[in-house]
Amino acid sequence: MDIASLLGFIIGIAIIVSAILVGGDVMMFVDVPSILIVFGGTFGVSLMRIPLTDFFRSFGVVAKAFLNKRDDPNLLIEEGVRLSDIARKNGLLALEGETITNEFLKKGIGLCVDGHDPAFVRRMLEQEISQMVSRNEVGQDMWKGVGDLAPAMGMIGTLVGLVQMLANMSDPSAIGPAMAVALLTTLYGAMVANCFALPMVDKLSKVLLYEKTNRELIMETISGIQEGMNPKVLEVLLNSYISDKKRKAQD
Amino acid sequence: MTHEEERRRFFRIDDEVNLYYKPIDEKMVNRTSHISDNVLGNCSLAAALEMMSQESRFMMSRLERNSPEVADYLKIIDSKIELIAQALMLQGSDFKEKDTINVNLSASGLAFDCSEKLNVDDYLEIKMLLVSCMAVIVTYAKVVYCKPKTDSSSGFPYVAGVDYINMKDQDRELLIKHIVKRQMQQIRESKEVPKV
Repeated sequence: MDIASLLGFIIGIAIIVSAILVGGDVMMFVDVPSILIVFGGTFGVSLMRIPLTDFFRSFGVVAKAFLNKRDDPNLLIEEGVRLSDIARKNGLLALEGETITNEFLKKGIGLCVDGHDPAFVRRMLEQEISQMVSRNEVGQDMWKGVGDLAPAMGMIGTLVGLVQMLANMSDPSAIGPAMAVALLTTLYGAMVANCFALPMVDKLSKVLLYEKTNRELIMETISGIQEGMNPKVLEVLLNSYISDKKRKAQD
Repeated sequence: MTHEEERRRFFRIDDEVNLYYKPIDEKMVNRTSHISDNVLGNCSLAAALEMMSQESRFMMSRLERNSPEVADYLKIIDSKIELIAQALMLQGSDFKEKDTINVNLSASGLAFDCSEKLNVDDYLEIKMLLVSCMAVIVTYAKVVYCKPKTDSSSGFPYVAGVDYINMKDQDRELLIKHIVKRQMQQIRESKEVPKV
């Protein structure tokens, strides 16, 4: 669970709601037609931008921003070095019985144990990484689109409200409330974009970067194991994937 | 660590190597290894190249990320150098086609068929050409056992087991890498379905 994502979202919404509460009635800020224009319009127009399957898949990507569980690269390096030592001393088949928590590493080790050619294994893992990246990029693209479209739909809703208001100028007392309702769509659009969609795109791109780096690190581990690389050398090589600050103290 | 554990420190595989050995005096062994002092000597060329490859791996992994095309090109150059080195190693060496024998190979010792009886605790200088990767390894070894074979039809009535002594680190690394690669090859071969 990514506490930062959930906390950020809750704090953002809570501050806005608190400001509304301090200023008066919450119900003043609820307008069903405005909600329909912003939410319905944004998701409807999003369907024009991407295929239907990608549209539905992008909702699954949202979960990644909130539920992502990042593997500690230091632990991955530790595990990789341990497995490399086992392969050198007891042979590749000895890796079969090892408990491996990371699924990608487990898959790579499975390919090693099956005796596949190192170039083939590397290609397979590279392909898996690129598929993972493209899947996530589709999700990010959808939410980036939502971030762009929501304020625009808010603006459209405001214009619609203003036109309706100007058509009924005969009653000056109705101008104020009608204007307020018209502006609500802009507020909704700005909230959808800035409190949810755009921060989530940024979070997803960070999550993707961490995951990609971890998978590249694992791919290097697998190559090292297949080469029979010295565990100490492998450790130094793998450490180049993480910053000096995050590296465990080297002897 | 007991002597038996020491001997079993590394994984063992059955392999075919081109083996040349000669008995030597114990004093030779105790001298700091004269073997491979000249890194450009034929016998250490593979190990020296391997060592350099390992050093360049760090740069290569960065290069692969930033300029994959340049990295691919350098890998081709690397393969060319490997081929030239292998051809060089074969020239003027003591190895002959007929010397290829079956061995049980590990990074800590070796068991091989031999035509003469060797005495336990005798010292040998061993040169072996790892046929599958064409790398040459030179080391000293101590005879741990030498027993008659039940089936001597191959022309080798004895089987001897030796432990390496004073083996250079880079040679041991080369040997481990060869063993891992050879095991991968053997797993693949065992999985291939024979054509009917």
